[in-house]
Amino acid sequence: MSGVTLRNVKKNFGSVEVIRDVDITIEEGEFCVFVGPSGCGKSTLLRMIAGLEETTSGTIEIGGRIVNDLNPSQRGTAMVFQTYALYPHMTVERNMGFGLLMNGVSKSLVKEKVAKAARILQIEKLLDRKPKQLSGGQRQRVAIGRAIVRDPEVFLFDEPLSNLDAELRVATRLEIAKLHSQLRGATMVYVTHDQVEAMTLADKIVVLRDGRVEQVGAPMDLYNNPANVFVAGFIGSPKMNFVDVNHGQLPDGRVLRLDGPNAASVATIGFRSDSLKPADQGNGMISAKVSVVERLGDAEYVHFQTPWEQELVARFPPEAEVGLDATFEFELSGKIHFFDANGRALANVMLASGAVAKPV
Amino acid sequence: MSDTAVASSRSQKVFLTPRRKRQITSIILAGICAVWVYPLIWMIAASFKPNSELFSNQSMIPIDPTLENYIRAWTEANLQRYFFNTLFVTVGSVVITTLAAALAGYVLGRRAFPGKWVLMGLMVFTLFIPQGYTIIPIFQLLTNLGIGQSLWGLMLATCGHNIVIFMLLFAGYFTQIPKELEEASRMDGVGPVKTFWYVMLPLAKPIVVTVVVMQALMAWNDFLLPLVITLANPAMRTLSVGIYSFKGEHFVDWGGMTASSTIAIVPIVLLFLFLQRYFIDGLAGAVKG
Amino acid sequence: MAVNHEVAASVKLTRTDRLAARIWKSRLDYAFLIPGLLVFGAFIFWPMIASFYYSALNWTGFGENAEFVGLANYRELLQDEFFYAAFRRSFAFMLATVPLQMILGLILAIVLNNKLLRLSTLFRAMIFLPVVSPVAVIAIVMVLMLSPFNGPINGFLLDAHLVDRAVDFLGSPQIALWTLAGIFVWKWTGITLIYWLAALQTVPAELYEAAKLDDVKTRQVIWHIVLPMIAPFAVVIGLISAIAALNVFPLIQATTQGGPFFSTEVMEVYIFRTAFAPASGQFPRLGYASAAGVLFGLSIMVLTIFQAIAVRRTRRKEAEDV
Repeated sequence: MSGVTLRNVKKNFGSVEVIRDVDITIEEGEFCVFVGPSGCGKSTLLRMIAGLEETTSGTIEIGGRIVNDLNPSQRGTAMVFQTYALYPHMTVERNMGFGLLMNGVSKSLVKEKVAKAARILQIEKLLDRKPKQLSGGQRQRVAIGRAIVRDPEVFLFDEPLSNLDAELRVATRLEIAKLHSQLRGATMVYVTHDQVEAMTLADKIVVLRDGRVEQVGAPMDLYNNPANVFVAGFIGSPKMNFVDVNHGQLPDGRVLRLDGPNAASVATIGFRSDSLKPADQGNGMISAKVSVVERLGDAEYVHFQTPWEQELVARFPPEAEVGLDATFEFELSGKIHFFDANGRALANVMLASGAVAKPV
Repeated sequence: MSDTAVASSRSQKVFLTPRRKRQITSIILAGICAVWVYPLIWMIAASFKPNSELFSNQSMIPIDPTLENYIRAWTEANLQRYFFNTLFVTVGSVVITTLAAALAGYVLGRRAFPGKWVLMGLMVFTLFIPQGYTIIPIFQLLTNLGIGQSLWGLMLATCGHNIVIFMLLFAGYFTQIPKELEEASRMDGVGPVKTFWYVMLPLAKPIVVTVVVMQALMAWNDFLLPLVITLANPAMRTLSVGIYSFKGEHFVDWGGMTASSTIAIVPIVLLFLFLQRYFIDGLAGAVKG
Repeated sequence: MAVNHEVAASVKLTRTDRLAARIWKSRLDYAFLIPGLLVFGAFIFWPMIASFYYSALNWTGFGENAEFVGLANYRELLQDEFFYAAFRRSFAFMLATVPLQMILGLILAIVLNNKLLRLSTLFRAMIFLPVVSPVAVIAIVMVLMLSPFNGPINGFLLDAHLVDRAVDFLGSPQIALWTLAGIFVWKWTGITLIYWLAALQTVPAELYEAAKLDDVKTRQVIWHIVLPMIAPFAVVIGLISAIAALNVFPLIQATTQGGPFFSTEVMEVYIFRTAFAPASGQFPRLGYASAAGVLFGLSIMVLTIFQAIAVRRTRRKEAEDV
């Protein structure tokens, strides 16, 4: 088993740069998730590791070998495709064993390997079926099984859950997490646009945007210390609230007093929904008029409008029973994030006590 | 005014329910179809009539049914030979055409290579040249290759008729197959030839069947090419041409002709009836494309 | 500026290299193409080119006696009554059969498209039967059926007192070509029916249902909804049928061989006669026949191009409507 290292990797499609100078190190046995909005290059990057796309410049190393010029099948990787890419005319068993059979592995050995993978994935009973006769979740397992049979050093997953319905997606997510611990030492690289998948599965998350790495880190690291506005907004649900600060003033013109050496550079403050706490009338920082309430059972997300007509969201306990059009005042408590005009996170800033004048 | 129109259409419905309308339609259609296939049925019936009865007995059913037309056709008139000639040409050209068209269609539909669009343009251009007008060079080419009077020559030339349409049909179909399937087999280390044979060709089964059926139909029924090629070599005749050997200078053996016509028509009609769905879907595809 | 020029020059220099590299990289693609291209080249592309060359020869086809005559064949053709007559007959045949076949096929298709009609598959198969039957067989059947000597059709017509004397359908110069047109339509309507049925599949079932709920009569549904929707297909089907109607050689060669008195000699029959089966005492003239083939092929191509333009125009109009 082995890790994956990308060094100065670039990829052009014609004159369009889709991957711009990417450096990533994935340790052996690590579960690494590439996440980002669609078109950010995450799938292209995965396909470059697989060898399905050529690398324009830079090197890709798998287990210490530079694999740039190796065929996909020689790289020690196996891929699970978004559309599963099962051969529709072959049974599950043949689908899983096809690659080995075509490469001259003996029938009995292939059968054995397929049986072993099927046992791991609990699809022994499906071996004689064709893909058409399987549910989405079962097809997904077969696709994973086909990867397992190859005994790869690195598993590559390309948005494997996006074709499943919501319930199945959660269940299969757990299965994949289990699989990772079961196949001890298997390095996994997983691409998704869904930050929840990234947060729940990853040892390490790589956030990509426009072909560039925005931040690399452990899930909670990214959640608690996002390096920039993009990562802050992308990781976490609901999305982080952002409020512009213009020369020390909030959008409604009140002065926001900040302490710390970087206080003068702050252009945006960010806070998650649970950092907004209702305050007594006349004591809050932000007054609010409720516009939408989402009841999720374990929490209520209250979307409200500020006096400067921005939509923000606050988390309430489930028993709060907030009504539409109710008015509130909020104060900020807990973690507040500060960003400069370029969206970069600023350390050493905090709210001064009595940071703003009371709402009007 | 519109009220009365609605009312009248309602009252009409009471007498002519949709169901009854369908029954009437069915009866009319059955009549049309009976007339439509009558000539073929009549011919098959006539093949069991002795020559003496063929024109005297106006009824379709033979008074004195006999197999002697068939016996005469099969043994004396060399029909046996023609039958196997036709079979050879049909099977051979079906195999070659299907494989050649599938291979080329696969490349044309899925791969980018220098010269692709020039080639596609040339092929589409030739699509509109009727076959009958190029018979002379084809005949000359076969003669120059030394297979001008042979079944092999006939069989190879028969492959040409629809090859462009077939290549385009395959190309169109292969374009729709998701590229992940090939990528999956690439990841599995399966080479391009094996991927074609084990993954892509089986997936293109509907087109394979269409091409097989269309080519078989064409080869079995072809007339101009076998006529020209066998002009000087009667032993190479196919059924379509061979059934005319019952037509002498002064006497026409109609009984033998109807019997051999029946022999010529039955295999291809059976093929059609068994593969009807593929046949019709495949042919319909030509319009949708 | 200067830098730009340099860049352009270096790009140009590498372009041939890159093309060579791309060709080398695609070598397997070319290998896959070989069998198909051999067949295509030998039996479609080469004959087209060769026709042009042959058409400039005076050549009986036997031995090495070919003589280059330039455009002489074409000049002679333009004076040849038989050529003009054959040309006219080919187009007359097309104009007679295509509309008939299309209308007949459309009517049958609309009726058979009804999914509630239980036997529609059977009916469709029956109409299709002549399509799969060899033309050579059809010819024999029709010669017998239409025979003026006790043929069943004449028998029926006489019994029903529709005619006084047996009609010589294929033997009288006035009607032989039209009889053949009728046979042709009978043989090929099945395939037009299939084309129309395919076109009708593109009309979503909801439209019929919506119309039914609005209490619109079937006839109105067909006229105002179905026909406009399948109209774009008419051009394609017409094109396919028209090309097919020019490939009528087998039927005519197997029935009348162009007779009586050349009244059914369409272009293909004319070419065949000049090239392979001249009247006794004359030599076959392969060069001359090739010239006729080229001229006729060109005129068909012109026709096709016009139709192709029509197809594109309707498609564009359709796109604009959407």
